[in-house]
Amino acid sequence: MLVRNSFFDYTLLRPDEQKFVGIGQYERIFTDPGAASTFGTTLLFALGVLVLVVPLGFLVAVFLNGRFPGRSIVRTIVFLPVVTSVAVTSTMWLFMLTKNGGLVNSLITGLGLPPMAFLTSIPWALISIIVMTAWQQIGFVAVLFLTGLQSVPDDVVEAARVDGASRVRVVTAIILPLMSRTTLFVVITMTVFSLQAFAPAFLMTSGGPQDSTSLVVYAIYNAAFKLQDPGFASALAVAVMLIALVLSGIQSLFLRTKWSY
Amino acid sequence: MKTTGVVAGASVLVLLAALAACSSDGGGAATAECPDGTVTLTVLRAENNPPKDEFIQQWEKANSCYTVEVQEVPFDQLATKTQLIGTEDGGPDIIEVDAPNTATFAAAGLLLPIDDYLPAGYKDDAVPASLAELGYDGKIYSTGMAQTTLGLYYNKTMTDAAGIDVPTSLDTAWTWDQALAAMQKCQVGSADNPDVFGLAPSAFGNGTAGNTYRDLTIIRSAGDPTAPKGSSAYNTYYGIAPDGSTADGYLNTPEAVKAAELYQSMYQGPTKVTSNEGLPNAFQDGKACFDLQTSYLAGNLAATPPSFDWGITPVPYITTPITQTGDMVLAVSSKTAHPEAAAKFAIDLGIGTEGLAWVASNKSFPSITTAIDDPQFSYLKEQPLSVLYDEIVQWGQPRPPSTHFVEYDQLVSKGLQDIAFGADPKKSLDDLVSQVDAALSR
Repeated sequence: MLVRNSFFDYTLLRPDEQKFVGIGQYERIFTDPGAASTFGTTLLFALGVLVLVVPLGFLVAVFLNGRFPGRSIVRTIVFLPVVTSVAVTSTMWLFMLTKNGGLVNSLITGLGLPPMAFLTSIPWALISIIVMTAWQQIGFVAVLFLTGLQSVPDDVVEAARVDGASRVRVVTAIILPLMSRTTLFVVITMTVFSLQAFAPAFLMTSGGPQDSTSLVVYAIYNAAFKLQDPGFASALAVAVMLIALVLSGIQSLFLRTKWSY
Repeated sequence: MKTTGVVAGASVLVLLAALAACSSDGGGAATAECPDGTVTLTVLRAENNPPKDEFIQQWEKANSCYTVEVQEVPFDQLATKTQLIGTEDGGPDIIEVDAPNTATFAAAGLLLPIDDYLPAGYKDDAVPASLAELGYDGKIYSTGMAQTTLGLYYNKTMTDAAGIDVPTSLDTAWTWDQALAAMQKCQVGSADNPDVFGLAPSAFGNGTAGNTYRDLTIIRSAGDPTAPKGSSAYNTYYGIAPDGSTADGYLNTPEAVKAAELYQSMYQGPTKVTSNEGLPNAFQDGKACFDLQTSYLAGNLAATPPSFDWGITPVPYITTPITQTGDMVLAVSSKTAHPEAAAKFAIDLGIGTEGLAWVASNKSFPSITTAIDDPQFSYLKEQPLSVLYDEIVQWGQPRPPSTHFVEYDQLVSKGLQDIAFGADPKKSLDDLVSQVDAALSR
């Protein structure tokens, strides 16, 4: 249905008056500067989320894999943002980051510094929604890495230690390569998740300022429901699916596991 | 087999009974009082919006053959939900519509004209702006409920302390240059992080700058309806071509660009007097000297008096005084099976006893001019609300009429927001016009 709709020009107000436009809606993706910009923004957003969430998620997993008092409670706390509604977390971060009376800006101005427009200036708005999304997803990534860590054979790690490998060397030369399947899964999952992100742009920044946080799913929503252009919205949605497939394929290629255990 | 048949038959009967019970049509038994039975009308409204339950119940009491069921959606989903009614089976009998969207939905065939049900003399009695924004193709689709406009509220305690003499009548209204000078004088603290803003951040939508209802007024006031027809000054005042076909030469005129530069100066640079991020209740909390707000703020301030004296001054202008009008209205769905009853409800809750009672209860403004003689509207003749009423009658203009107002509104808000955030005014307006024209051409 989505693919079919992408070949038509029509409005939600007059759904029966559909005009076949062939690949016209897809051509608009390349000619409309707003569409090109929204894809660029979304890829930057996805990259930012990946850069934060993969290494931090791994470090948190390593930490959670150790033995310490209250480990179960800490694991629950780390995972809590994942199971909290993204609408709730977005609103919470909105209240924290807003310029007028936000918690973070209250701290900043309390130090005698001028307030920061975290949500209404370029590039801070994009950085803010990346950080918020990463914060929410780190728990999920950590759990995935934790599962991977716990499936690394102990005898391999112990053999490396007996051979004199340091802890860092064990992580870089043994654990990370053996976890490449988990890493691949995390990277693909987070990439697809980032391409589908909507709530931060919708609730925290409304895609602004100047479209700098206009993520593609938010643009699809706007095109379909605000601008009466569901045909174009369908073409954008198909393009997102294709990009997700291509990126996943490329990532599979580069992160293909060379190890088996 | 026989038992199975009986069970199946009974199941069908139960299902039919359940469906009948769920039907929005109701259709109770005929009585002497209600020969067609009791009819249920369904109303789609936004959350916390009129028609309020109290006045619906009053109407039900006065019209005992009808019951009313209300469906609610969040305010920002009302237009989307209404758009989808055309694609769905069934739907409400009466729809709450944002006034400027009336033409859009009427042109799409979602609404029924109510001309046949209007009281005699309605057209002479209606506030001109209401008549203009609630009609399409020569027909009337709603009477409106309250009529609304903007006023520049001021904290009199602060303006007196700052030695600012604020005008209180339309003939002495400030220009924007005068208003901005007063706001700068009244502002307390650095422009970047004032303790008291000269002008309260927008309270519209999610609180960011750029709301069409509020901020397009500033741009349109740079126009002049007395200039030669078709001139850039004339076009700027209207914001869109008379036939709604283009915004090119209307929203991006030299006058509009200059107005956009002034608008940007309110948010950027050393002259800024407000923030492009929201600050809820800034005016009520004494964190702003002035607030460009709707007439509803007056009702709120009257209900919960603040700790300072306040007043209302007319909306400032650049060349020509103008205020945009329009509020939520009730319209009749073209899918209703009870057009007469639905129209009666929409009219009664608009300009009838129940509608006027609601308007008066929150000190708002009726959509008919004769209501001013009604004792319950005595506040319309008294300061400060008389300023708003005079604005509606003398300066009121509908938001640019178009059968694509949903898209126009969205794009203009975004364009103005970009300007408030620092984008080049001329480029932003040119980009905005090309996007609006693309939408209008569809």
